[in-house]
Amino acid sequence: MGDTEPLARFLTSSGHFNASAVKPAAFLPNPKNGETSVYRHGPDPLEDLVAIAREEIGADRKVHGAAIIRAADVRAARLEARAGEPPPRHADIVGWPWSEDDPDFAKAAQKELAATIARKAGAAVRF
Amino acid sequence: MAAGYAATLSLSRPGSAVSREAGAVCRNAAAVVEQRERSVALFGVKSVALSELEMLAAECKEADWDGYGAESLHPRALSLAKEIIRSLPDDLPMPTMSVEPDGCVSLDWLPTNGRVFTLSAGKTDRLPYAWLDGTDRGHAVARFIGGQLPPRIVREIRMICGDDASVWAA
Repeated sequence: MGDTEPLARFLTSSGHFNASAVKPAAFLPNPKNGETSVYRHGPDPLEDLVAIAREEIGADRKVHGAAIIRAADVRAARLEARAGEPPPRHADIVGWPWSEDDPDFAKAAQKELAATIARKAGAAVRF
Repeated sequence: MAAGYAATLSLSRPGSAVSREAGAVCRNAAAVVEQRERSVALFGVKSVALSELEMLAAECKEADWDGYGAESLHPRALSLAKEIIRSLPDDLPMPTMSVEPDGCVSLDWLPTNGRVFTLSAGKTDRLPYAWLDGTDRGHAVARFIGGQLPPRIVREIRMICGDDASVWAA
């Protein structure tokens, strides 16, 4: 995956963004697998991204929009963006700090990295 | 009045007392706290923040609320987040809030895109937090003891927010 490739994190909680920006919690990893699910966006029109969100997140769930970052933003935070198909275009942000001994300190480290990535996203793209 | 409210707030917290009388005192104190917090005139922006938190709690009460397999909002995280909001000094900007995939509540101060202070209220009194301030950044864990944020945390939030009290509206 190239550094300039756009990655979209679908925003499914109204608390994960506001008018100005995306909040760090939007990028925190799933506690079950330690990964943050994203979709490779490419130069496709926004309508395509909306269609992917509807298909992958589910039509019965509200998708408010997406936070768009680049793979380089992930790598700058000392994490990695890795293709993870299926489904098509799916990828994961991996390499999050993790500790069984001190999960709270690991969580603090995750929050720092999530805030770093969220800052790069800027304002959310609203659907 | 503020001192009376603080004392009532302290009594409203579930403690180790088990007698029927102690339980009644705790319940009555909790009712007084709730009544006061419903009054925006008396409780101001904290009332608004607590309402916002209740809306998020309703949104995230079921597992997989985010479509990515998130845990449901943990009741202890919700009550701790409320305690933290109530304890904030009146001159400190209110945070915006979000629920995290592990069921914790994130309290975020985001005065500008370059400055962030984010604190997690979770299942214990340990509070993971992190900050970004331009090129400076870091993370640590603090404890919420005696119903108060550690003074160091309050100082750091003040530093991040600086003189700009116009913290992002949620």
